[in-house]
Amino acid sequence: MNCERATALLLEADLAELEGHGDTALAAHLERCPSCRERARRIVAAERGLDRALDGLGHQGRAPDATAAATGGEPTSGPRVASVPIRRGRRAVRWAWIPLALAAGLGTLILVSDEEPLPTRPTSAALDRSTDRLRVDVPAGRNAVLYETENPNVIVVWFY
Amino acid sequence: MPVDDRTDGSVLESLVARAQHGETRAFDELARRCHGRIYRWALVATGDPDDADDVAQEVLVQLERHLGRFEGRSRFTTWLYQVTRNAAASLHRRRGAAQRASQALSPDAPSMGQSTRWIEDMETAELVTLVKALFQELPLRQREVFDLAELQGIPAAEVAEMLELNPATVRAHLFRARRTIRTRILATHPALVEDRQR
Repeated sequence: MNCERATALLLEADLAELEGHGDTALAAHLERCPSCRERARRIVAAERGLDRALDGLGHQGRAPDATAAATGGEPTSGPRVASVPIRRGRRAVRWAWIPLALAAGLGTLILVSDEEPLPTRPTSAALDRSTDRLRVDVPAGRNAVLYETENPNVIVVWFY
Repeated sequence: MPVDDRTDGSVLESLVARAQHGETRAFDELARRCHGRIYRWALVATGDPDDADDVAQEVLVQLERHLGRFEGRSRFTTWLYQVTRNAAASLHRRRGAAQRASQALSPDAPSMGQSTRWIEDMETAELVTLVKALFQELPLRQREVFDLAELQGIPAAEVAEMLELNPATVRAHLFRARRTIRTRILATHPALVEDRQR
């Protein structure tokens, strides 16, 4: 096997084979050819780096408060409190259209969103500026999801 | 994502069973353990961290509402993956509808195209190149297979179940994705490419 053939195989081989495992012609070539071994090493290192990068994005504090995001659907005896950190700079494009839609009338609201009409029952919400956390009192029997908008002073609280 | 599949799977199944019986703590623990992978699946499906956030949030809501529907006929992660895919597809459909509506309401509305700023912020130029290749050169199905089978090491048979494909199709997608990504990897090291002519 020459290096050109080996490189062609490198493009589709399993990572284990690139790391020298297995009794194949490619594995044997990698054992004796430093250049192809370096190509295999680069591929493995790059893919591992890609895996870590994607995994890291999932653990960069983006995890919502599980209770706030999906509070239990069973009715409770009283209001529940959710306290969630405010994540600045998030885009919530569909919600940015709500003020415009409300001004244009309910028909337009239906056009831009397939969600149920907004609840009209008021509830309490308070922003703790020292911790930058929003406290939301969720009425009994309701659940809540919070959306930030492009306006940092506007947070939409969705009760359902 | 270095996860001991057997241990992780049995822990999740146990939490699912307890959550289905009404244990709030079990559900919270289940949501906490699953959020990272849900977010990653959503990111691979949408290519945008903000969209992935929205999808992950929606999936947690769906998890709470519909966990009772999971009957254990498949792996829990397979079921959860399908919920995530459906949520990502739903977001894509709604965004398409909203975009058409926004154009009708305001011809000057800003584009809803994906920001690549999060990619440019990555540590190395090579990583930026690879992530761009992942999202811009691989079709969705190849991207999903590459992430699940190649990067996360999930066996092809399980990936086939998650994506509702047959294993041979999964392998075909994987080979194509590998070729694209690895060609990009080697292209960032010209000396290695020239050296192979020997």
